[in-house]
Amino acid sequence: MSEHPTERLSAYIDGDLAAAERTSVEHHLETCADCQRVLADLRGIVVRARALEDHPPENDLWTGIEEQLDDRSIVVPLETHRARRRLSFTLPQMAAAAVALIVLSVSAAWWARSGTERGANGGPPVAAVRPDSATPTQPASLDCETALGCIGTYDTYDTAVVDFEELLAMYRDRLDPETVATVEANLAAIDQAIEEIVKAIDADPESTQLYNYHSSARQRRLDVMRQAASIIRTTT
Amino acid sequence: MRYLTIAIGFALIIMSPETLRPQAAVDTLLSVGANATVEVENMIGDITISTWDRNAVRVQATGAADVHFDSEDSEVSVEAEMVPDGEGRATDFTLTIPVDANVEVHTIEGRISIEGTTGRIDAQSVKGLIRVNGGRNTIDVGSVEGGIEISGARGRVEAHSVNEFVSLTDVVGDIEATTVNGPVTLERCDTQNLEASSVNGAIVFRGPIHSDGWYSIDTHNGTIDITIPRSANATISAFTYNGEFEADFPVTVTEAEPGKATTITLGSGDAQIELETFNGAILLKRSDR
Repeated sequence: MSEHPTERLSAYIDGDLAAAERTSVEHHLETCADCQRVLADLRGIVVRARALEDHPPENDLWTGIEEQLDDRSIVVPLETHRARRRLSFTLPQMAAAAVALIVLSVSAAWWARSGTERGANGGPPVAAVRPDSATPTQPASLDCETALGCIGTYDTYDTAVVDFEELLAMYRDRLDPETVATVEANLAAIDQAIEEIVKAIDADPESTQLYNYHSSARQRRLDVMRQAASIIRTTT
Repeated sequence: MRYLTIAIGFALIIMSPETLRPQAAVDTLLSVGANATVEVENMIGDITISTWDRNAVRVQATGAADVHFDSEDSEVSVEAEMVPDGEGRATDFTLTIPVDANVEVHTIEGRISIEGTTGRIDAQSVKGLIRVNGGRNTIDVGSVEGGIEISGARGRVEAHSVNEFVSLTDVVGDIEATTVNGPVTLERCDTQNLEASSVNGAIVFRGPIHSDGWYSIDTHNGTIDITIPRSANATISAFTYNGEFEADFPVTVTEAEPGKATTITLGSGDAQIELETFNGAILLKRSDR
């Protein structure tokens, strides 16, 4: 029997697993009583959590409370309260957001810096940067006041990758072409590695080792993107 | 006629734009307090930093850029600002700093060499070799197109390249050494926490294994070559998808199913060693020490 996919059961319930991973978990569940129990417990927690809805108080009770309140402005409408409570993240989402935050924090700092330092002469005094390039505009998907405000838009690995590539594309003309080519070649090398791992998983969906390896490879890509974002900050 | 040609050639050399602009030469001494931080921002050119037993920073620079200083008791910052006709030309820095000073160095293109400081080291470049000799604190070094060499360090070491090698020798402390396209070599490294990775490159590790240690080594297209002491107590998880696993000593494999890691227990199996390569071999060797 393969290793227990305990850590992936939550994502399985949330429907966040890729098809191959989902199939693998399902295969395992068919024969593993322990994981079936864990899954049932997790589902029970989810069901109970969903049952914890806000119920408006009985009118007569509310009237009594209302009379004792000096300042009604502190009362938060129920819908607002519900909306606030929906702003929650699963652990993988928080992890992804944390990684994205690193990339974004660097990028945000770089934007702030580029905005204050570029000035009238039009380009930074850096030999590795082309001085004749126009100042790029901020990507629409990153249209938020602070990096923190962008967390909600970065809940997946793919989103982080797409936005980073958008970032790189916009600043391509300002960066040393050789450096851009190097970064892209290395990201492509990681992508190729990830592709090989995915094929291996398709051929052997029971291998938890490959799933872990796949996760490590994606993390590495995020790390390289982070490093590249740092370069962009330094050289523009 | 020959003399005339020589004379004209000589005149042309003297009058060339490269030589018409005087090379800025800076040699300044700045006083600082204990545990000061020295920041250097360069664009093109080498940065060489060594230490002395004085509470002062000596800055020597030659090159095309204007050099700006900002000095306070606890911080000295040195920045090269490129002048309009100096684009593409280098400015080289040589700094002598207090032995306990922290160092933050950034350059786009040029070699960085830091020797002897016991303070924190943060050195980043886009292109150019980064070399650190010594160090007794946190050492954080990164480059995109530059190799990294660290030797004789005692402290936490983070060394990240993208397109070049990473080499650590005689390092004691936690280690994180990564690259994408290049080898990672860890010779005589004494660490309890190791993370070493590459995508296209071999990884070599030789050093003691601590019973409470954790060692993670992975590469996609490269060989993992690990030499550990005969006395090591460790559980080794070795995974290769398209490669071979070899040990130069008899090992008892407790699990070796397809798609799973080979697990080997040495002694009491206390330390955790994880070795992963997709297209490479894993070579496990034992040393007498």
